[in-house]
Amino acid sequence: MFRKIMKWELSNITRFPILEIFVFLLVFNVFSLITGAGGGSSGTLQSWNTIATKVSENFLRESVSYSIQVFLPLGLFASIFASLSFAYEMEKGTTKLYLSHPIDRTTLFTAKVFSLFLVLFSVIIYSVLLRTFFFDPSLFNYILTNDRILQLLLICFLNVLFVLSITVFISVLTKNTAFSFVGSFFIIYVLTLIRSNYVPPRFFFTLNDHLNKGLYISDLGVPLISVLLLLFSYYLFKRGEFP
Amino acid sequence: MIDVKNIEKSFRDIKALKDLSFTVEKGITGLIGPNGAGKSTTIKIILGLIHPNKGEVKLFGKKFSSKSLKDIGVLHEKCTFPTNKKGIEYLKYMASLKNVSEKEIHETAELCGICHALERKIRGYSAGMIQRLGLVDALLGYPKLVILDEPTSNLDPLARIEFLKLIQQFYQDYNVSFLISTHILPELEKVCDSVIILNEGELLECGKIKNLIKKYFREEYIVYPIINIKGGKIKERNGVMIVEVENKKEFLDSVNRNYVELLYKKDPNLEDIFIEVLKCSEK
Repeated sequence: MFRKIMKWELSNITRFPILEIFVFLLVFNVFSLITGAGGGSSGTLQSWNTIATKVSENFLRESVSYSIQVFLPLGLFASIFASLSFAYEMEKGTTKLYLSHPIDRTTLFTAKVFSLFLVLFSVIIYSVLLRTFFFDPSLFNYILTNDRILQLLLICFLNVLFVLSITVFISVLTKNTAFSFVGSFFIIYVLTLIRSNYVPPRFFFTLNDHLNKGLYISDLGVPLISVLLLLFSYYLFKRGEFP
Repeated sequence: MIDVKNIEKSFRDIKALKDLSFTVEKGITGLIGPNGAGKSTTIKIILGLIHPNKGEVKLFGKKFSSKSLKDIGVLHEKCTFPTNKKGIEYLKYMASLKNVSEKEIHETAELCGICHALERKIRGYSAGMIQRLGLVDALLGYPKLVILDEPTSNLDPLARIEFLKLIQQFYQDYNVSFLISTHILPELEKVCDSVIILNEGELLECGKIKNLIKKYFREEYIVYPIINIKGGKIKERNGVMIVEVENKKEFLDSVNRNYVELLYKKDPNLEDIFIEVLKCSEK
């Protein structure tokens, strides 16, 4: 049952302009490499790139930094996907239609979150690999076989988890496509303006450093918040009404 | 099939359902009531889409679970099908959840007259086609019970007649029971044998139409001229003078004695029952 629903949800998400998103990320990569300014006119991205350059001891660190740099574009895609997958379907009654069939809410919620996660994770991994490819194609093989690839994957994983938890939470809470999209993206944008090492996206730089030197208890904060937000979203979805 | 016990539901300070209890038996049952009576809320509670403040619903003798929806088909009044998909893609997905074969999808679609449009995207469907697609979805796998919320609201008169015939056919040939919520009583009357009448979230009546007629109506005749009529009360209903018979023998005697022409016996219809029940509840 889960597989069938997941397959359906994935086919629903891929109706969105995934190809265009990949092209956008390609342009974002090329632009960021040419200008060396973090991929755009945004001052925030520029400063991240500066930090990224400073902290990058090698291309793997560069890749990790880049995976953090895409926080804002990732937030934008996550806001679109989650709003359309959750809020739009709840608003229009499609969720009501699904739940009138032998589909239980836990399975539907999990399938939606998993498929969103899969798509967003693919987007970020694609972007990071693309970046490596443009950076130096000869490193492409090295990055895939290096031990620290796991560190890069973990940063990407937590990045996606955090962005996803915010967007899903806002979507399930508002049940309104417009509010959900604007609200989630606004929160993600505001987060990029906060200059704290404990708030994403800067938190991921800190985490990356700590992963090399030794972890602190505070490093659990963001993953914990992500999980809690997802659990709360699940509670709202499970207990919610679909009039 | 459905056992609703002491259901109460409030939306903020509005009481939508007040201590509602009824059972839906095998057959075709109508759920009727004026706007805001609580029909759709009741259906949503039955389907587990809305949680009641009090009371419980049993489906086929068991407490609600998503598994019990395998034996129930639903057509909602308002909901959006995934418009980016083709009709057949949507039906195949739903059929896979109910373990229904592809052959059965085409059979049901053929019966519902939507087979020709299944390869088209749902976004290109007319309101009537969407209604038919919803009906195919509801009837997939010939469930034990199909719940239809305002099923004929988007259909033209001819399509409505076809739709009602289809409901009867599915009941007679495939033993599918129906719970139909609608405002269009003359249509409902053609197919259903029992009704549940709601008003302002309260149950006014529930039972077989025949029994309700016996309970609320006496035999009625339209006669001409209305003079010296005995054994009955003269009443006006919908602009027509009728005689409500209290003592049939006395009434027929007076008719024969006064050369009154017995025009025809007026049988109350569902609309009359509905109005009468509402009137009685107001009293």
